[in-house]
Amino acid sequence: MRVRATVVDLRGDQPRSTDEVWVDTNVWLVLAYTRVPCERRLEPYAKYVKSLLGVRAKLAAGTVNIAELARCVEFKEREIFEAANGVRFSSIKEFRKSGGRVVAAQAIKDAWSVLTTLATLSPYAVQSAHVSAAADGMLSGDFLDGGDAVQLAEARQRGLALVLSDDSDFATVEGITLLTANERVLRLANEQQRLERTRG
Amino acid sequence: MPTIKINIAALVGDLCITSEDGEKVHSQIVHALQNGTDVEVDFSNVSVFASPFLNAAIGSLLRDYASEDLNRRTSFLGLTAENYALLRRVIANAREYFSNPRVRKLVDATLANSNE
Repeated sequence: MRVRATVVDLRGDQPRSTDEVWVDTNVWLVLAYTRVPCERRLEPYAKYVKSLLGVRAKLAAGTVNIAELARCVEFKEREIFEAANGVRFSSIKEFRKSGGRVVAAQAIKDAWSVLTTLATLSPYAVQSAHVSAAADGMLSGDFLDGGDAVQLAEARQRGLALVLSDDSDFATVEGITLLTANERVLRLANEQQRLERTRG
Repeated sequence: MPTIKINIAALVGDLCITSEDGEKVHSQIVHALQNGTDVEVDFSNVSVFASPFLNAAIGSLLRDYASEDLNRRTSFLGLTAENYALLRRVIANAREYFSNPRVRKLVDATLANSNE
């Protein structure tokens, strides 16, 4: 994997009051899904978010985050409902017609509530130029999937270049600073001279 | 039975986000319960909650205590109706997590591949 982003180990970073950080859905899942396990590997993200809010920096999110978070939560709630009740649904649509629908919808509402409490939501609809740029990025070496590419388009439209994520794919994007604690990404960035110990 | 009040904002601040802070709260609650003291958990002046904090502080109590005991010996103050409902769901989820191994396995796998 070629690292093209500037990568910063968030565990050594000091947030600034002027920071506005785009937060990827995997971090929102950690923060906002009420069933999320207490996992040591991801605790640095929660600590970093606390540090950001402590200096009154801003966390940014957009419509893609909201949709992806709902999809992740519903997927997990379906699995849990099936395991807890000894049933198996042939499709997500079948699950939505079951009693599990209410539980999943409530879990989604809870997750959205946490996200909207913590984040400044993007006030913009993504413009075609940014969507086009996102597609061009995928063709020119970014490893992002479509959802992440549109997130990035939304972030760029807001003029944001700081991205908080555990997803290694963001390391392949030129022109952003990736704040992460992903050990593999940090190692690759170090080997490719893309790791900054502190932000300049 | 004697009762102690644990002021969350005084203990960990108004940003209730991390597991680490949740564990501090958890320890205080467990210490009180083990000493035969009932607990009032006061969330007044807390501005934000996140899942790692709530699960470490409150959800993990279900590992060692039955929900009936917790309901009898703990109370929660200073929460909006919405946050109180959120907390009750964290407790209900934790009860399911600690009592059903299949659910526990699925929940534990939630974040397994989140970084790739």
